[in-house]
Amino acid sequence: MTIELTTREDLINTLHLAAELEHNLMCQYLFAAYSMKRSTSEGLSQVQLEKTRGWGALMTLVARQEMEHMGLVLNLLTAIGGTPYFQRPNFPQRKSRYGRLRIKSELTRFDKETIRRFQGFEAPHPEPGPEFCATRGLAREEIRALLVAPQTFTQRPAAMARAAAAKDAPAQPHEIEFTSIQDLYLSLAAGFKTVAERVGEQNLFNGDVKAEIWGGPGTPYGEGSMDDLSQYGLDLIQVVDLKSAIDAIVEIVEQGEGLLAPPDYIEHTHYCIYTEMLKEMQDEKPDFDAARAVVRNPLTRMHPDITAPKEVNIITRPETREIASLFNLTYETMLLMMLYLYGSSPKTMTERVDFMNAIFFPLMTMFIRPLSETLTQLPAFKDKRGNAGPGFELSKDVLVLPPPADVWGEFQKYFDILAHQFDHLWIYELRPADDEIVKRLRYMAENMRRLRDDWRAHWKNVGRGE
Amino acid sequence: MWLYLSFEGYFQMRMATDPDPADELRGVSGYTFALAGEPDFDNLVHLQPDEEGVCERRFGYGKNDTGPRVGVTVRKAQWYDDAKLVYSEAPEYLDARVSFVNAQLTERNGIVIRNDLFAIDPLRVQVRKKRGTLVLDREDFLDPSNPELPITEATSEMLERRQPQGLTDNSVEVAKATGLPDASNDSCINNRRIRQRNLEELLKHTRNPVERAALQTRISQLNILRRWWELSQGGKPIDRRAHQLTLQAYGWAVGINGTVHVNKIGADENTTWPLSFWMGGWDGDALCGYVSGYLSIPLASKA
Repeated sequence: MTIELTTREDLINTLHLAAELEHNLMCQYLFAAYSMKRSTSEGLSQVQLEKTRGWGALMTLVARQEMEHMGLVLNLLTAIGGTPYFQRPNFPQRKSRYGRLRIKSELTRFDKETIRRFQGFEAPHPEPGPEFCATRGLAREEIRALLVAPQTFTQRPAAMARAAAAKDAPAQPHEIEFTSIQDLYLSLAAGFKTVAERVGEQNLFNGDVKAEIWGGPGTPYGEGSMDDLSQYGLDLIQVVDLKSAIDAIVEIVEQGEGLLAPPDYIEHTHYCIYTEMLKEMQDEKPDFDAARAVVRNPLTRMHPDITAPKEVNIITRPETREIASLFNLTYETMLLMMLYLYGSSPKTMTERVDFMNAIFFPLMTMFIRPLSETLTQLPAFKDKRGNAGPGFELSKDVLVLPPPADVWGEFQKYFDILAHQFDHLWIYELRPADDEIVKRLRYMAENMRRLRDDWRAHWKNVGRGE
Repeated sequence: MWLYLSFEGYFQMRMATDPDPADELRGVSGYTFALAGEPDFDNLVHLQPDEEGVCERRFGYGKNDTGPRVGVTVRKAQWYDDAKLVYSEAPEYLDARVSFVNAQLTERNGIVIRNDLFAIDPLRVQVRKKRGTLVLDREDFLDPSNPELPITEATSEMLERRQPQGLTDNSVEVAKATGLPDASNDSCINNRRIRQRNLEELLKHTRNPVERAALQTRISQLNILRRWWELSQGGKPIDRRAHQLTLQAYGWAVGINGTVHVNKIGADENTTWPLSFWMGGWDGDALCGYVSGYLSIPLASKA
């Protein structure tokens, strides 16, 4: 159901929710993808390994596109003067955490139950019949017309009830009234149009659009491999006005639910990818298990914001917990760097590119993923079976930033700590040097030392780029 | 006196591609894969087909099984008398086989190098005569004063010495070397479509389930050429699976400076041996590319 958004604050609050959801889904998808087996030595036949790899490739593509959606949401926020938003509650959360969206937040390995849950996240509403993924969709012009057409808004029962309540009634927790992610974005599209008409387009788009990150030909960030994001299945656009805001929203709903997807694209939408994946899994022999024995929600500790504590598996194996903590610190460092990158504090183009050069390839691909894959190979417990995994734990709100003048030095401290921790893992003493996991961690340690030193040297020693 | 060896041919490099981590063994999120029935990636630059780790693929059924075949050989060999300024042919070195022993093209996703200007490391050049006799073998050091220096500790000057000068899109030189009709995007895309059709034909004649699984992955990758860009709201750049068929990394120029392990031609071991080459024409489906270059060997003065 479409909810009427009538003020800048409505838009910002809803965009914060959208950023949180995209972030949340991305973590869930990555967790499942990184739980997958990667070798015939894990009990797969050659054919099963090929099938597993294909599913993994699709899962990581969808996760990348969730990152892209988050990037688009951040650009939308920036364009209207909002602040970047990287917060989310720790996993797991009850469905009620997201109100009528009924999104279950948990980290589970790749299996049919998990993919069915993901399919539900991405489902168009109302959920279509089985023929949907074979249909041809709509042309982009038709999609735009639909999004900006006058909407019939659903009454907001909870909000209305609150408004009708006595002024001095006790404050109620905010209830999320969107019934699907698709509805959230459709409401945003209508809301952008409404607010632009009400306050004037120029007044609405009063943010520091230079603080946005976008790719494609002409991007000012070409030096950071942003000139050709399509190679990774991505298209990150700059939001400067109502048209580009709608374009960004169109792209998100096209790629996700596919209800508004253009011709020839529906089969590649997230919903149809998961639908087809589920069908293929159901067609396989029952004993084909494509994932490692990774436990649900493997965390280093219980966090106060968790609403489903009974579903947590605390990692008790010390050497594994140490690596899980290292993963969390790497993840947190990356988020803090992104918060600074997207924030509107003054910085030069060189500084922006310096941050992007640390985040987008090195931290994401050379540490976050390898550490995640390593964790899913390691036992979680001292006394029972089951492997660990990346918990994406946040020890505090991703809010606090040092003053701009101190930023470089503050992140240097993070890199110093990370490099030290990578170099001094307990597992090095427990396993032989030629153990594959140890070798991979040593490789990451070598890379983190290089990253630490390059940060200290302001990249003067990194090899020449184009 | 100098010996100039001009070499070229296809090499194989079984490696993962962005955004996979550089040490990925099978390929997941990039566009290169160790397929069903194939060993894990070894990340090594293989210039000769009999090197351990080479895994050549089929490209079609019957007469359509045409594609890159690994083998880098000397195509022109000349003596140069720098006192008399006279060139003469050196036929005994024609078809000699050139190898870069255990070489990798290193980038580490921006940790060491940015934006695909890969550094070659380690760098050790061998030349074997056609019948197999090893006549030259010399390695290059990033830092001659510290031969064991790992690339992750190299300075930018050391790295740049091992990097190409730049990249050329739609290189005519590459298209000519690999037999494309021209260097246009259309030719690249057409080449991939022909490859896809040939693989689909091969699939029809393939019964082995492991081979079928591998072929299906290759076909689906080639099919991506006509997919995602429909959604792009910005430009529609040509997909890298086709674009790299005419991409050239040009201008590697290294004076090989290290230990001489074999020297059967009387080369001067007290000076560097200039090696220059380009690499390009990367065929991600075959995991092969083309290399073309010169090795210049100064001969020791006769006492």
